[in-house]
Amino acid sequence: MDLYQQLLQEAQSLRDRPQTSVASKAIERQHSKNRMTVWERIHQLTQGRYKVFRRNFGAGLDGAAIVTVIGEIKVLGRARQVAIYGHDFTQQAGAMDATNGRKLAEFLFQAGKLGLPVIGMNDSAGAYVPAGVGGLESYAQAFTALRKISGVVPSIMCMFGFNAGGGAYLPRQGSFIIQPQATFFGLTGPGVVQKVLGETVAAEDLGGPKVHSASGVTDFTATDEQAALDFIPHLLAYIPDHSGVAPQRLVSLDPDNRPSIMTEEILRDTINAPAGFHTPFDIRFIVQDLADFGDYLEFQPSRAGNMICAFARMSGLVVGFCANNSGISSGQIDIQAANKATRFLRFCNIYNIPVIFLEDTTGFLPGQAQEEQGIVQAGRALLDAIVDLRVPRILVVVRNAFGGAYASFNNYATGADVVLALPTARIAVMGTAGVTFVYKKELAAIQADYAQSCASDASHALKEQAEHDRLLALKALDQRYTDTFLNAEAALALGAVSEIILPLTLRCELIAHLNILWSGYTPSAMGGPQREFF
Amino acid sequence: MSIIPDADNVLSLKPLKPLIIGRGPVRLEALEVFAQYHVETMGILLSRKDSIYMLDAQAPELRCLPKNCGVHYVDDYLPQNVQDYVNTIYGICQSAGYNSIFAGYGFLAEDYQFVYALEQLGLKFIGPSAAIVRQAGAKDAAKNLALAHNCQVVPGITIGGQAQDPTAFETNAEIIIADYLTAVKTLFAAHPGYDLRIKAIFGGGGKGQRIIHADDQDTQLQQALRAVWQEVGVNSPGANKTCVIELNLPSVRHWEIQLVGNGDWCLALGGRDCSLQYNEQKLVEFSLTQAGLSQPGNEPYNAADAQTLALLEAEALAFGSALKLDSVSTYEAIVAIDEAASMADNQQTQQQQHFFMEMNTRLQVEHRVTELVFDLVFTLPDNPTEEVVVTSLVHLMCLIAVAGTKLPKPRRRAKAPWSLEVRLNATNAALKPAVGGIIHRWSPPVTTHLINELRDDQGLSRYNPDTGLPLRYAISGAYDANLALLCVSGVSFQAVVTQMISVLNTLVIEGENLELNQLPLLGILSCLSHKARKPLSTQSVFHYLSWIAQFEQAGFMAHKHFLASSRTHSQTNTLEQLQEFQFHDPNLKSLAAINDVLDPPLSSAEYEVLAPSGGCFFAKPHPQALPFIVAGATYDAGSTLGIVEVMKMFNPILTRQDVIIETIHVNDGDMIHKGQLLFTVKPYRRA
Repeated sequence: MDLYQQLLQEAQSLRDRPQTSVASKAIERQHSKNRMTVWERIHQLTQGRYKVFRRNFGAGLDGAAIVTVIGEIKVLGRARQVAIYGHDFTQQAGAMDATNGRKLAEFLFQAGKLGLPVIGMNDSAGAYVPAGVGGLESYAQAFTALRKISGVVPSIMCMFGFNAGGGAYLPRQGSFIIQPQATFFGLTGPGVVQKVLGETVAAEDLGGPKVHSASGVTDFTATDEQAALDFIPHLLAYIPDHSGVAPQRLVSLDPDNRPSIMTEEILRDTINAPAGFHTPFDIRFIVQDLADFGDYLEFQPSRAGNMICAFARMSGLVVGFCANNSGISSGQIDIQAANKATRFLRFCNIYNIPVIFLEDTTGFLPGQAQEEQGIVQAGRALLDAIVDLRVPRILVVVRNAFGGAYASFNNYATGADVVLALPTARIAVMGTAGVTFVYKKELAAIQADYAQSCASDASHALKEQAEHDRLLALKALDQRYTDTFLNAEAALALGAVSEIILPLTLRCELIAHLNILWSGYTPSAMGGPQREFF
Repeated sequence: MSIIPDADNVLSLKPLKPLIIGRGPVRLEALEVFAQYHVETMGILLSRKDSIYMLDAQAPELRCLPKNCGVHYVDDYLPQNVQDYVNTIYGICQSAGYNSIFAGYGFLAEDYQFVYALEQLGLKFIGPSAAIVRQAGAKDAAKNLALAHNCQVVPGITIGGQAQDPTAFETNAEIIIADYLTAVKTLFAAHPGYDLRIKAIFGGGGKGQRIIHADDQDTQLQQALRAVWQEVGVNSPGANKTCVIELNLPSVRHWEIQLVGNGDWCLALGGRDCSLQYNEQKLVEFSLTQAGLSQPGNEPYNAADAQTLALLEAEALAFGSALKLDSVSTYEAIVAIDEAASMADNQQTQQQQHFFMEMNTRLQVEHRVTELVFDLVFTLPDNPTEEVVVTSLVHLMCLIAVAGTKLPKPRRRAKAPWSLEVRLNATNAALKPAVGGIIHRWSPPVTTHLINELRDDQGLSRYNPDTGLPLRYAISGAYDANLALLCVSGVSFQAVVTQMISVLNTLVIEGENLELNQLPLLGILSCLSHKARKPLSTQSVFHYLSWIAQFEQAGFMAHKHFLASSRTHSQTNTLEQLQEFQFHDPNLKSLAAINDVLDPPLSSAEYEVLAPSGGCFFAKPHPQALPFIVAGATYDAGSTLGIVEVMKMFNPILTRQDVIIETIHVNDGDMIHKGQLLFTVKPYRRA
């Protein structure tokens, strides 16, 4: 072998080092846990189309337990470039040592500069303890980099394996977390929790997908690693590469003027039910009906079902739906619902996604429990997120729009571009409880009549008659209030609602409005002053 | 050479303006045939259950609907009242301009009243005419016709009236019950050792049938009859309650012959072996052709089978010709080994008996099996050099509907000696229906130089046409458990079995809470390719299930993780292990033992009864009856505590021990999920 040949051989073995340095036993161990290695995950996601960055980084020339690649994912028929980082669990359990924070941080900044979405394949035990404070420094560098590119490029974080400490915080700084079954992440594992707090808890109950998807820490769950990887192109189809552009618009084969039959039928069934206007129904039927081919992607589907947030396409244009769902907890907005919607709206705002609000709520949820946990703050955050929206936005009053909920939920005053109402809309300060405030005199008169008829010397029959009359009179008053206040007429007269839309034409009308608004919108990165509150 | 679609000849479908009134895989198949042959106006009915009953459960056909297809909403495809439904359909046809009706393989396709009413209104029914449905569809009349043409029939008796006279159907239930009890006793006396089977003449698809035993009490016999009526929906005073009672031959094979005709000519297109059934529902179907059955070395079939097929085809043809069959129909038969004759013959060859069972006057789910082995070749009278090949029975039905007796007689052309269909259903490993799953993604059908998978899945595996991304589909349980039909064809029995194993092995369906029969099917087919396989019969499914259960017990098939792991790592070849496995466990003979392995009971405290599956809970046997249980009362082990309806299957919830009911946590008609607490009970020890 000549010298040159020898050089080539050594170079090749260096190139292979990150993979060959891993003991086959470590790979087998990973497989036995039904997990892939980081290289297998990257291969599955990109079908082998990726370019490694800083291949031999680290003292061992082996990549130092963190893999950074620019890969290609096929989304909507196009190859999209993404910046992928992944912890290599087969090396020092994917933990961060003193040096690889810088590798990750620089890679993340690079993604921000190039405008590439970040994909994280998190599988890290946290900071590498033998590295001492160096491991912590590393995480701090990564935290900072990810925060600095937040709002510039979107990021999708897959939680594989068992992630603790920094391994949990870092991914949550990203836009979306996907957590497969049989994984854990959290501040620290059950072992430490047992030692520190004396609590005995299984990993699954401490930081499994069920726990995190209920609190909103995890946005999406998946059955296994492969399903999580398969989900990434699905999510990417709704989001742009960076905040300077909008998501790709398609030409839809689903006709713009397709009648909204499902909307019509669900409203008919609901209003004609014995409970009438008080019948709960699942607003997702309307979201499904409006979306092209009924296809929508629900954000945080396991949490706060009273507030539905979903990505969808209408006439090929990506829109965000923010909808009150009376099917769960009457659609009242509680803290969880407000937090979920706030998070979703801020994403839509940054990444140039127009929002359609479907309103059907009697208001924010009052009560001691909610106040103690700070509903005022959570509701305020939602209100601010709505006021701050710069993307085209439309409100459809589906049914109830009462009180504070009406005042904050994307009306003209808070910046809506268009406000529409269905024939079932009821816009008022409150429901029939409003009788007490509006008809004080009438109520007093009914009460006086009743008292008179029930004078102590009246016969039993007379008293019964009086009670009957009183109830009739009260019912008539309720009806009068309903007829006068619980409809969209006052709002129409004030210009608070632009027009009444017949349910069958809802899709067609919304698309017409979206097209007008979209033609006047230029996708761009956010600017302007920073507001005090998040 | 394909058909000349636009030619204004006898093979043109141009005059057809069809409305499809059924659902299932055949709806999409029909839409595709209509589109391919340039039908200009077409429409489908869409039930509320297919559109707004449940989220993400929209009819998958909507993903790929042709532009010129109208969609018409109805409450359900199965009407409460046939006449009202006819009026609804007529109204739709009038307003949208349809002139013909395609009913697929739904119940209505063989409902005489329905077909007759449509014909009277001037609508063309794509399928056998009302006259044929009446003659052949009523099980007793068909039997008489069969007897008249020297077809062998199963010994039995008809009760409830003469099928030839529709007015006589209106018979009082009490009289029928008296007749029935007498008939049952006569049959039991004449054929000792046999069980009997009652079938409502308007039943089908496993509905309206019960098996009764010689030692049943009168009340049990009555209950069976009433249950049959209930299932077919003929409980009302005027409805036709006619039933056939016949010998139940326990281990037999279900064979059927595909007939086609235009009222003038009639053709038999080989047969199908539908013996592998479970809960009266077909699971796996093989084609039966002379070419296939005459091949050497195609166990579990043998030379006697080829002979039986020849006899059956001849009988079926005689029957169909006598009937002047004017569309497609199926001549259903059972084939049994004639023990006595085999012994007397003293030869190696088996003697087989076959009996005519009934005529199905409609297209059947498994018709693809026939389409894969035979083409129909037409020669046009005005252009004898040109051959036109028809590959679809739906297409043929349309041609007959348009041209009638003017349609020239085609010849059948063999395409392949064997074909095989499996039914992919939403059921668990023990083949019990399982609802509530959500499908996220299907892998595409297999097409290699060796395998050409035909997947009839109603459009379920079609992706969003705009984005090319998979669409969710919730298995709502509003209809039957069938999701897709998977078919292959090949040169030998072993070849089609091996191909299908490959297809099932490659198929990936991702989702949440999914329970599919993919693995049991894979197991059954592996058993069929196993050296120790048993001949196909209605009993062999139990046999194969017991094999799968043993395999499961041996720990090879951790069926919940099998698919996922084979997908990501493909470390072990489970199939090879299955084929080499030695089956022996004698303890797994009973169905209960098999079920305990494949579908272990949910572990619950002794004082809780949990829902064995999701579905609709019923507290009473029928709406007017008293509830099965009341709080505070005592019930023996084995008593029915309630019923869960899953995809039209009524599964009793039985108590395994003697109990006192403490609290009932569900109401009649509640939707329940698997594992839900239904009753709190206290074990009760008898003094």
